[in-house]
Amino acid sequence: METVLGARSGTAYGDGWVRSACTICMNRCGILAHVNDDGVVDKILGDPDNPHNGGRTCAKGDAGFEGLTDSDRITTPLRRTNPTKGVGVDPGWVPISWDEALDEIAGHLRDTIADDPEKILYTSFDIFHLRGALAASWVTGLGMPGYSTWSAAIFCGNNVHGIAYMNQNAFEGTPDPTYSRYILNFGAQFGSVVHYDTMHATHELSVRRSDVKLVSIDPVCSSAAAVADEWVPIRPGTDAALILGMVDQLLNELGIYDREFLKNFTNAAYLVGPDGRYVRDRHSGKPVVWDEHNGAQPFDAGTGNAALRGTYAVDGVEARPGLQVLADHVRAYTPEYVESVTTVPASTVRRLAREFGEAACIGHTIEIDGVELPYRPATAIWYRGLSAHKHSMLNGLSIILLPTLVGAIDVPGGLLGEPWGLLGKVKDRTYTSTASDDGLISQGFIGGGRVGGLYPPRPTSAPRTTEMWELLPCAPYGTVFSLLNSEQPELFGSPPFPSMLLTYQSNMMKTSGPPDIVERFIQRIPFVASIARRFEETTMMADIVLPDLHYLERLTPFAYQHLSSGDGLHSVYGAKPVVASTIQGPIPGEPYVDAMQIYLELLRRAGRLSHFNEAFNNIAKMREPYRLDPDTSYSYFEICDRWLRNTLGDGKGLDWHLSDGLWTDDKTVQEKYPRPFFEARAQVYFEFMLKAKDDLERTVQELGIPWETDDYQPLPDWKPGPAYERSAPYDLFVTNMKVPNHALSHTHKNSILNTLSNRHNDLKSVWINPRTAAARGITHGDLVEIETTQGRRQTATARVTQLVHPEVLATQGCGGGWTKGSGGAEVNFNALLNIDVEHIDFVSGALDSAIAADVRPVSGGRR
Amino acid sequence: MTRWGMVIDAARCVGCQACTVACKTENQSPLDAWYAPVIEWESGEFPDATLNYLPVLCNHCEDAPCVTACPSGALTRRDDGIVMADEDVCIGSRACMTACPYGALHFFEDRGTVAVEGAPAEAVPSVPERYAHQRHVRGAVSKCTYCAHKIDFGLENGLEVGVHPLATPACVVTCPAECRIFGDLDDPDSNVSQYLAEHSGGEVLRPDAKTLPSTQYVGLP
Repeated sequence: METVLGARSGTAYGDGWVRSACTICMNRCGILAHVNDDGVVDKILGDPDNPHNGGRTCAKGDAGFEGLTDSDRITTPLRRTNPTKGVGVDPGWVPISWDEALDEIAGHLRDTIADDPEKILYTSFDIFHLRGALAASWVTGLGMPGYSTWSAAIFCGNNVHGIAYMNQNAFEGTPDPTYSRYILNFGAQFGSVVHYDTMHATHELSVRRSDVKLVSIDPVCSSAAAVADEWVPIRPGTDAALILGMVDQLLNELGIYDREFLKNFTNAAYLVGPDGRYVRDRHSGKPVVWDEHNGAQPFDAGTGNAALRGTYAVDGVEARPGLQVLADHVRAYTPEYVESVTTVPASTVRRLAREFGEAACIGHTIEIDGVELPYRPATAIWYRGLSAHKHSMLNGLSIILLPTLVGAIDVPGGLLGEPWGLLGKVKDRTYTSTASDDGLISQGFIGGGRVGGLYPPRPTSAPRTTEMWELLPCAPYGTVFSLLNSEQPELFGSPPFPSMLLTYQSNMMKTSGPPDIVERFIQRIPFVASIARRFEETTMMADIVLPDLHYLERLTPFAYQHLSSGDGLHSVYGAKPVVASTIQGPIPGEPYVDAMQIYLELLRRAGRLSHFNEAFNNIAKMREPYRLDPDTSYSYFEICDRWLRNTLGDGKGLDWHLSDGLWTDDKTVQEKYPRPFFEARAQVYFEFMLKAKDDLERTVQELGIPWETDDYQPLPDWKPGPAYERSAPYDLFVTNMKVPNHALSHTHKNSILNTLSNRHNDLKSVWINPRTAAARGITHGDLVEIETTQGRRQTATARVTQLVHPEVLATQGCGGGWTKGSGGAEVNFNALLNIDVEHIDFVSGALDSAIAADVRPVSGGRR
Repeated sequence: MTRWGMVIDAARCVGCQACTVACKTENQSPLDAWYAPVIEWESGEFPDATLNYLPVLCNHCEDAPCVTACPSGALTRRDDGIVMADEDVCIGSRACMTACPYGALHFFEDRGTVAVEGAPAEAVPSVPERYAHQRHVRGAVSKCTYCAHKIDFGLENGLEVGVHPLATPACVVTCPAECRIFGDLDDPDSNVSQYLAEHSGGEVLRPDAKTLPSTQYVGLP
């Protein structure tokens, strides 16, 4: 094994080039890394043979080798000697042996498992995706029900994943890079190297630039809005009003909607009674539709000609198809009302609706691989911009209506489901979905290792952890409630608090709530262990630290499993050690190549290895002769070898991975555009929310705890967030946006990217509209202080610019850390957030990230 | 004859700065020297405002004012049109920097500092910083060479220049938006000539300078 680590071969590009995968962001491009004669990585190229990024890299990937030789790399296990923990406190690290460190962590694992395994808080953002079945088996092997992606679970996909599973049986939806021609970027940055599948999308959109209209709806002219055909500035947190206004135009003014699609592939025709519930067939219990000739019929017994509009009497009850109920519901969202809420002119609301509807080309078809398919090249995309709000789930349920109403779901040009390769199951994506009894797509979502999602809602019960997962029947995550429970322990009756925290590639202190709140949360946890490459903010709170590796030192065979929809190839590839780490790992004599070696050793020492082996056999669908014997301790290398052979074929074991490591496969037309090929239906009327609400209200009443259930409604509304009603001087919104040259917080320790930021997109700045700046006596370059209603403050340099809504203070990136080399002078937006019931969405678990604030000059201050 | 040139379709640029960083890591330029940045500027008034991007680099001018101005002979123009700086010959007069209308020349002031602003001086220099000191001469001018070392490597090894990633300028290889094309401007059938023909010819920056640049643009904002 030693000989292949750091091997300077493995590609057709000659000596020194090693094929691997970049894991800086979730896009995970295929790369070639060059090792020079000194054994130092000095260059990274996109892997030209890799269909996912096609030989291209971004600024982050180009600079990725920086940090391999950081002076603050952690090289040995460490123990804290100072019992006091906090920001700025010297932990008093002393080096200890791997044995001592592992035994201590394993002891805590054993004790906590014996007490209640749910009291282990394990946080990691990307381990699940990078290590698939291995990570899931590690969690299952410990007896934990799941793990926390932590910050991602507060800000990222709260209103994305459940909705994508509901209408697409996918993890998320993205526009079709090949065929979309009209794309609404709602607070997202698709097409500008700031989104998933970003290299493919950026390339396709750029080379088809004149054929595509990109519209960015965003309070700030972000990097995506800058390259869009049109920037539509909007007041933060009001997108749902604009979307529902567009839906009103499409349904009630323009009559543009895909009737065939809605009848056959959605619940739009299901009749809804005055109580908001489906009208059901007396015999079968199935929802009924109104058939022109036969009257009320079970939804699956009709002639495919069910009514979408109108009012019908069924068994003496007045019933309307779901689409009619929706159309009546959105009449309140007139363009003039929308303008008053959003500041988007009424004429623009009308125009965007018409453009979108006409661009959808309803009725048109296109031939792909000899098969005629619907052609619907208009769609919309969203992520944190719509998700991180008080009424997050209602925002998500609003926006999914746009592509669904025009039939732009998993067909050429539409919103394509990105299922990702889940748990190492190559070529095993279900491109179809099982249907619920009501005929609806009902595939479960795996969030943080737990199966859940939006539809069908999960039964509720008393919370077993501070995450309150059991009271979130439609949410993918409940992480933000851990911080709320830490701040206000009595609010929900003190659910069980974590006994230990193990954190890996998750800098909670920097990337989630305000540092003081996260600090108090971590201080309350009796034992904290951190696996880290550098002294990051969260690592500084740990009792025991274990050294982690740089991604160019790792062996991660399934770093990427791109089993997507849309044109192009399937691809599977992984990371391999471009250079061998000089750090001694957890197992004497074995090269240290991945944190999974630590996990395997912890499982062994905690007496849980057989549980892991069995879980892995199940989750990775291992077959003989590759299955793991429960009572055998396998090396990480052997597990990788078996897993690769089991998944890709006997000839593609670890040796193949190290010498080649790129697997591609053609897609069938069903895999590219699955929607026309299965029967389970998407939804435009969300009746299940009423059922979830009933169940939830019963449970919280029994528990006697306060809980918000107002947003469980069958059709979405725009509702004002906590910052909407602002009063002087806190009458601005402070917001945050991504930049293309940083990912998450960890790139803020990269000297090349930081230097680039200083020159290019100054992350120390706050963007202020000239009108706003003038009113507050601020000029360009002034040092200013942002202050929220809760007295939280950040200092910044004023960038007075036309590129921002007059009511908005825009910050960028996730910098402003306080450990060495982490961009300390940058604005730390998270330090301005509020952790309270007013800012948390009780349906999706999202945290509102549009904060009411004031800004004023710091006297005499200029940078 | 061959005259290497680059065509940049500015309408495609998304401002991601991949080229900026790929150039830096390929050429190991001193950390505060950026041979191929993407410049940006605002235009319009809210709400009809936008941010414009423009990738810039050495124009490798046929009539290169930097070469004329150089008192030491360090700056020369190769037969294939690439303007090179011989850092060992450069005496650091910086006359070229004054003469160049494009700001394409960079003086390596070795201040003995490390990469990260505010980082302590004892910190280990970053990899590119360390290599910058090995590859570049302190007190001398350095510049974009169209990655001449890659072009020469490609020609020596039978790789197609402008196509093979090891025989093409780093900024061209990395670009996610494929807004750069590199090839022989003297060959009417080359990729660059064809692209210019399809777009009714190219434009140059600062045409008033009349330096006959080999870096040409279409779709200028």
